[in-house]
Amino acid sequence: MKYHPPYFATKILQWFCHAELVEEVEGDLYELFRERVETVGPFRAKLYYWTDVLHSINPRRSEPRKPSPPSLPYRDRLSHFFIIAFRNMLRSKSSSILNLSGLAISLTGFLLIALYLIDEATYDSFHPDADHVYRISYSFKGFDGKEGRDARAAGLWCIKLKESMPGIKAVTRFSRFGYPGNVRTSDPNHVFVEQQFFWVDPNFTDIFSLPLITGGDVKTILSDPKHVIINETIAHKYFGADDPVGQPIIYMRDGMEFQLIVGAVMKRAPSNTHFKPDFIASSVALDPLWKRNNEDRVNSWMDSFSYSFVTLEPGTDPAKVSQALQEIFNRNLGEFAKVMHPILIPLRDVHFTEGFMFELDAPGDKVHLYIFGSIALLILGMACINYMNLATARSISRSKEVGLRKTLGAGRGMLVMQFLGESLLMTGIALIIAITLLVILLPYFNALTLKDFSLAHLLQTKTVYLLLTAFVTVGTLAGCYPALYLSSFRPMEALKGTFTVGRAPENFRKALVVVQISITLLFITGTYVIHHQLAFIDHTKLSRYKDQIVTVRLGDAVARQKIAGFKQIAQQDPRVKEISTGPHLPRRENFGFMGRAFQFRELDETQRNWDRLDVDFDFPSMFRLEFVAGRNFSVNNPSDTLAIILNETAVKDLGVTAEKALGLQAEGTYYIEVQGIPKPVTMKYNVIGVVKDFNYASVRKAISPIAIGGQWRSAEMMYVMLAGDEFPETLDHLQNVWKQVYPSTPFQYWFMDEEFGRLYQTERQMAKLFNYLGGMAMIIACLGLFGLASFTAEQKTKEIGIRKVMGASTLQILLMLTSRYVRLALIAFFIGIPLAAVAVHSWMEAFVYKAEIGGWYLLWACLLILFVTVFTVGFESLRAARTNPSVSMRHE
Amino acid sequence: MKGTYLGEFEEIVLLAAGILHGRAYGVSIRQEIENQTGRNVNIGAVHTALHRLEAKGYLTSKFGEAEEVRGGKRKRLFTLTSSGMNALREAQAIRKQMWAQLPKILLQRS
Repeated sequence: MKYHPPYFATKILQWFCHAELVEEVEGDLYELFRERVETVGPFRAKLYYWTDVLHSINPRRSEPRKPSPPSLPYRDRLSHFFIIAFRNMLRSKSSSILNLSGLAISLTGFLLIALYLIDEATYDSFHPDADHVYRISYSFKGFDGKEGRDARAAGLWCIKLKESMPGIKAVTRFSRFGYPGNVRTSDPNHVFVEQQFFWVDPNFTDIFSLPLITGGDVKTILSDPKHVIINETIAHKYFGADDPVGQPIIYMRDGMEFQLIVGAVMKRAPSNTHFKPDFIASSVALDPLWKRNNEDRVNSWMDSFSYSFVTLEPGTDPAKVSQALQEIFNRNLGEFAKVMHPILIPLRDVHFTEGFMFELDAPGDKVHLYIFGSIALLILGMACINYMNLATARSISRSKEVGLRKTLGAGRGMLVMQFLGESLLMTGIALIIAITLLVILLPYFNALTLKDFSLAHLLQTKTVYLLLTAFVTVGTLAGCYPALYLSSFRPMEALKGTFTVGRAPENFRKALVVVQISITLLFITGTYVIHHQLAFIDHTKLSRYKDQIVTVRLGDAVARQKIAGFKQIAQQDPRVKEISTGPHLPRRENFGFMGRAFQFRELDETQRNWDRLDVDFDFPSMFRLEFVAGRNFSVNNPSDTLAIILNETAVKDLGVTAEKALGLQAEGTYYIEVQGIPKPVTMKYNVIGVVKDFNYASVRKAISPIAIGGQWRSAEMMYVMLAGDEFPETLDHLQNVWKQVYPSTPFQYWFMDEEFGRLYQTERQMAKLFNYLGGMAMIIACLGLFGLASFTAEQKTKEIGIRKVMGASTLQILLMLTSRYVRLALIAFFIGIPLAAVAVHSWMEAFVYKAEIGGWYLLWACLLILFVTVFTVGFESLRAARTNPSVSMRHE
Repeated sequence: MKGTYLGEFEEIVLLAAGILHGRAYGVSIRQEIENQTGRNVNIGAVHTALHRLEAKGYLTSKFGEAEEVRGGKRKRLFTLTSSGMNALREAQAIRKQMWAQLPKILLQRS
């Protein structure tokens, strides 16, 4: 054979034609070439050969025919992957540990918050048909035209609704009549105050789920009005190890005793429901009381006595139901129908509704949920950033591996899969550690959030899905950049060692560090501001002596009559400093309504709806109210029971000076319900004093105008201020006196600061969570910085050696190594400070009374971060800077 | 898959592969087409058509022997499958059907 196809053309064909097709194409072209040499001559044959080659390498024409068979059996490749992955982890122990701990810590935080969020988001969803259940509440207009909202409804509304409208599947009602109730067993000496005693319609289970432990059917049990269903905890508390079923339970109220029998034991309500009954009894059992008083509060048109729920048939429009209810109002409520409007609240939203009186639980705050959710994601993001940082930083040590793999024929896709697999493996291990940590931390977390999560929550399908999602997302997110970056190395450069890390990943790492530090700044300022605001709240006027003041619940009207006697006996002990009575303070929304209508006819005809605090004469002095004008109540003035003291806001509302307000006469109107029809009663009061404003409710709310009246008979609570520090003994003394004066009422007390704890529960939870989360963020950021710094130091070993040989001091090298991170921190501050300022500002918006925070805290937070950065980086850098140059130069 | 539509060139390639039963590969098919139609066909186009037809399931292929005349490379031998045969029949049927509907006047003119 004299002629050969052009060598270079064949090469091109071999390079660019698809590997699978190259053999046949080359063969065909060769055959054609030989034929053409014979027919058209060698020159044109070569020319044709070239054109044919160019045609054959068109990438579109060279699509692969079939996927190539795997080069190694799958099982071998898998085990190879694990071996390599573990070897790599072991070879770079420090960065693996940094990565693992960062991921594990953040995953733990994420999972805990996720548990919390899932719990909050699934409130009341365990009831069957929960999506079609609505609570009937209503809004009304007060005397002053202001709107009020009541969570409850009058009993007949929903009954009538069911009768008059199709599409209503079921209605049921329950009440907390007599809240809080005095309950005892057959032993009259064991009286307990029970807050979760619910009186329900016998068809309770038409809407709500109520699993019984003892078996039996709730409906049949409740059809007997003598029966009461109690939960496990109560069964244990009242009867210990005895079988509770068949035991007597006595409910005492208004001088009547309701004799009940335990019919069954129910499961304790889960944490994510807005009402958690301890006792459930049929409301039919209250009938004797209604008969005695000649009023039926359960079945009334006006008395918003029960919480009413309806289940709608699928497809029924809730707006139509509201209309129907309004119709019912119009027909049956007379004048009041004009100012009363029904509000349907989906059962699952009940937990999050605010602004209703007599809510059964402290409302959840969706904003807080969003805040927590974003925090969890941020922390997780920071751990991913760490992984990306360290993995790309270590890229040089793995570049040879990449080069070798590529030389041996690994495609980019295979390498990407390998590195992604490694990050997934790492995440998997971290997840296992995180779950272990979670199990250890769960009890503390429960104590913090007042929930009762258990291991069982973790094994629910929802949580398992969440775990899987977290696993895949974190693994992929953390691994994708390193995978794409590492797999892009050119084998030649990587193997020759001329390979240098480009600027792009360097800048990427810097950007990531900046992001991390900004987030940390956000957390630290957040933590600081929340604590500051809490400290401010703790110093609001009412609560200055909160840890010395004991609040005692004055059961029913009978207790109030004897309060003078109690005071006298109790105060014989010098450790009891002062005693006073008043409304339940600090005021929470769900305690109900203190509003009263006042009219100052000497000034104008406006009806003013002010909060009225009914206290005894000692109240102002005990709570150290400061008088701006006028005088305190005085025992020497018997007419002071009809006197009122205003606060400054009230005086402002009147539009007069404090001095001018003295001596004004106010007409107060309140309604007494007689046989379901409210009747107005008017009283006249004299203003005798004006006090400075004080926070008697949450600082989230503006102080409203109040009138403090000397009507001690309607007081709800007794406040006892203790002196000295023998609190337990003093409490014993109080309890003994109580037993003498009120033998049948349990002594229920708490310190006022506990009540404040409940009032600011969300803030306190938030502060504590922020502490931990801020700490977590700080640790993760430090881990990242530490890893990067040690990497930089390692990279620069030679440079440091040369610098030292040329005469650089340790300090100079330290400065060189740390300054770059300080610069990054400064950039991060530049981004983080505005963010933090905005976040803090919007959180503080919720409070009417804010602590002065100024701007210095931002500076302190920055300094703290700077200090930690320098410390973390410097620690690692110092080691590098102090190495003997002869050691570091010996690499050559 | 790009659908089962059979292009004109694909149809010719498929027919050629059928004619050369057992001996159909790139060069021989190109030769056959050249012989039958007098067209000068590019070998790259033939390869593309062959692979496309194989992807459609009209052809199957296997490697033949390595030959000296091919510079020691094996040839890929293509065989018409039954679905390939069906596709050809269908194409023919469509043509016949449409031919039959041409107006007589057109047929007479030439």
